[in-house]
Amino acid sequence: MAMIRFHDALRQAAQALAQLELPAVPSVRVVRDVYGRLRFAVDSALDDYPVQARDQLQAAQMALGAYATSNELLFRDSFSYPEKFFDQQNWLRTMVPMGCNEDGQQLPSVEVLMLDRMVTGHDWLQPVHTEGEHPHRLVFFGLKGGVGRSTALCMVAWGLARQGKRVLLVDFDLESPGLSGLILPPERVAQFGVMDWLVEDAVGQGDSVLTGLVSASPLGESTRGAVRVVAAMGAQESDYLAKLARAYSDVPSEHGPQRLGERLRRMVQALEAREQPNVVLIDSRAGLHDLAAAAITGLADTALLFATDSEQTWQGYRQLFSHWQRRPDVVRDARERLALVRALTPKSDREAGVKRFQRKAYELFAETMYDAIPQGNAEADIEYFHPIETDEAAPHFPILVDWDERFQEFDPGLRPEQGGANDAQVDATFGALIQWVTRRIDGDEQRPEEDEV
Amino acid sequence: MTAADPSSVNYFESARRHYRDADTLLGGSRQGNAGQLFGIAAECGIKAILVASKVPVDTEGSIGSLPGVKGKGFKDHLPNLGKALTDLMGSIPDSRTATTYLSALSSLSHFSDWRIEHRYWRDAALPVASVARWQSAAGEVMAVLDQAKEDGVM
Repeated sequence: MAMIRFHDALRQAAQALAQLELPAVPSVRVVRDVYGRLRFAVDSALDDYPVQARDQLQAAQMALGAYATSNELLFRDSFSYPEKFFDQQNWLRTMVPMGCNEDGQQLPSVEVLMLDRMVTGHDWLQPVHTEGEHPHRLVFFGLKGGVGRSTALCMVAWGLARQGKRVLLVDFDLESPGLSGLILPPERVAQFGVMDWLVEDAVGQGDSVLTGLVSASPLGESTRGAVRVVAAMGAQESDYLAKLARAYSDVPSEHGPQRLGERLRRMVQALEAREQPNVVLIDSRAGLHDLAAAAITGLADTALLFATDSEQTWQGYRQLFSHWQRRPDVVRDARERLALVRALTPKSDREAGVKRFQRKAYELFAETMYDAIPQGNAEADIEYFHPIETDEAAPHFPILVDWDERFQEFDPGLRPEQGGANDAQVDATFGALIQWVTRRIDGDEQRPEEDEV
Repeated sequence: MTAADPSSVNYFESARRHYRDADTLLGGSRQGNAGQLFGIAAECGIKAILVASKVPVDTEGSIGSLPGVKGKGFKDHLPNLGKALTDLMGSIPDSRTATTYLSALSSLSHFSDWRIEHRYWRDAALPVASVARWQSAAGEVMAVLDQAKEDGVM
């Protein structure tokens, strides 16, 4: 028998569930443990489930080889508090791709209800709508560094402050803290940073550092608004790595362990309550990291996904979108908050390059994030989310930031006479992004409050 | 748990059996032995976590003496077993698993007045007022076993 690999196991388990003759109710669920091993779970007492079905399930589980957690099927009897296991929020409807048949034809995906126990990355699959009113939150994310994400964030902050807005910047890039260096002179850096809040919150005194977290950036001083900054690292930090080594731990609470995403959301809410900003800009860590998940799915009203036209970029986003795609509930929630930013747009052959980028972006979204519309027999009463390629309001339609040498190793704090950029230069490069963000925020403010359920 | 398992000891199963029986006794107002069984259920549950954390067992599946450790070690009863967990954490082979589950047991101190010798005591001497506290602490152990079952470590 061929050795079963990680990605075969779930497909084989889903296939078994689709093919075995099992009672329709209760449906069989799948539990995937932290090693990727699987067990079947049935919300029924062991004795109430037909012996023949049980035997088939057990055989199918054992056929998973090294990817069977054990030979035990999970029934209500397996737990002292079965309702806590079977009724928890973490069960997700999951689409399992079945690959192709012998003729190379794509087989339809099979849906299973799955509890996926992961070591990290929980927040990618737990989109959150924070309750109550809050200022629009924009997350700046890139799959890799060096695409001008933080510079763009500073320029957007400045552009919004020029309109009279009070802008709060928060640096989530804890493993490569740099936003404060870009936007604050050393003497302005606040006493504490996000890192201090995380370690103090873990021992129950996060509130005590809130007052020392925010500083005013000179960037806002020539504007009608203000640019307020929460850095990753406080002034005179001497123990950063010792804190980083602990920052992501779950913290016990009355309602069970609080994960990183939930904790950061509490911090941002507390900062919003203190600072009363009109808009919050979050600099996310680059790459598929928990910090990015916490920001994009846990906080963002809008997530700006920075991309260049490189294979690494497209592959990375495809992996992320495919991860969402398998959970229909998550994909519906995630896609409308996304917006793609074409960073470092080359000036040579610009028009053709932009078209090429737009096409690739459309194909990626169409294959992963947009609804597949059945050919010929689309049901009239179902609303499909599938914008066309040229729809400028669609998540895939790129917002352009041009390549400009001036903004490499750029100090946004410098005045034009010191080698900094003047208004016209900033607008030439970042104007489209600033305008897009402005429309998004203003649209959000004008939109009537959605009906509360 | 498994038919092919030759050892007769299974701390996970026995923990849950004692806990259920304790509940049954309590429902029949038999506080004295209910209390005794809540303590034993908690002990078995702790030992199930220790076995899942690769603490060595003998051929029967019982936790044996730890090499180089004087005294009863993990073979001790509550409330001393609680202290042994703290003192001997460093000698648990898979300390990460042990820490994950044992650190969730915040109410083991409820067993400070529980004694294995209660089974020899006369009725009037038993601290039956403590049974509710022992029940909640044992319930916490059962919830941790559920979590370990969900995670696939037992």
